[in-house]
Amino acid sequence: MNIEKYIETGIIEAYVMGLADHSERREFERILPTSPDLQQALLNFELKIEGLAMRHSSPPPPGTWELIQDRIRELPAIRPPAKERQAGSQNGNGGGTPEEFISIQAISSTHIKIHKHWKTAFITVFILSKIFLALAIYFFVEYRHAQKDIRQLQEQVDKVPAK
Amino acid sequence: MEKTITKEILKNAISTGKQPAIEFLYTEYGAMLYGYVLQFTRDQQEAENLLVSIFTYLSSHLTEACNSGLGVYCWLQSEARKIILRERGPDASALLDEGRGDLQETASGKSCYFSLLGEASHEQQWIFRELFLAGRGREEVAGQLDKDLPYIDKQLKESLLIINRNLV
Repeated sequence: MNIEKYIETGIIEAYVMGLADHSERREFERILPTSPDLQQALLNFELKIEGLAMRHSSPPPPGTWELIQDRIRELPAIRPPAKERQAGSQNGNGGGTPEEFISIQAISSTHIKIHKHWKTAFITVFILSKIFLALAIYFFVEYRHAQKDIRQLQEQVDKVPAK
Repeated sequence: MEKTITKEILKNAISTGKQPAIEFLYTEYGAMLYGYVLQFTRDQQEAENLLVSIFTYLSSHLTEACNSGLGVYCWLQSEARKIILRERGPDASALLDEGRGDLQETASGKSCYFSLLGEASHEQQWIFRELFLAGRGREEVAGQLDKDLPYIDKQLKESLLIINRNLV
């Protein structure tokens, strides 16, 4: 590819200003690592854009930084996926910041998520229900036996002639 | 002019924590980004809200800047534009037209990109404005002008080259 002609198409400007479409961006990012001329032209345009932004800079209203801080504090910290954490620690990044994270994950609409302590409670209730069921069966059988004994005794009493 | 913040500097800032890194970027680029936001809206309150949204978004996406093909500032500006267009919604074009007779008028009263488009045709300026400031799609703009996509692409690229030529 003729890089000079490619640069003259305005691709660098479109890429930097966010006006390149998906296929143009992909092509640009594919060529960029292999072309020092393209890298230099990109750097030159970026410096011009930064210079323009400097000349047109305007101090934000007082209190803006405080608003940003408040908004950032309101954000829930999201724990990166396990793979990323692992990669981070392998890269010497320590696997993220030492901040306390709140684990957030998407759940299916057909499932609910509950505290792990409920697991113990459910197991206890399940075991107790089984014990009560076994006791109920045991006493029911005992009751039937007792009734049978009473009937037999009653028959024996009935057979004894009255004095 | 040398770049104020390189990716290496940003990486070092990120390693000190999210809050210090954002504060560092705000100190370095807050005014530049606020000036950039003012190109999209003349309402100072809206511009401030947009700046807050931009830095809030950046607080959880800083590492993406290190992996981008763009330099730090241009990446920030590119992300800022996406947030501005998303928050302003599909009415961004109409908002640009409100009370405006001159395309070169900007929120802060200063022209920026349009001042560089002086030699572009009125149609090129309009196409650039609709695509860049209002975030409309090329197909939509082509349909409104009753032109085909290659024509819109050509006009856009020519206006971008004019901007580059006039940048110092």
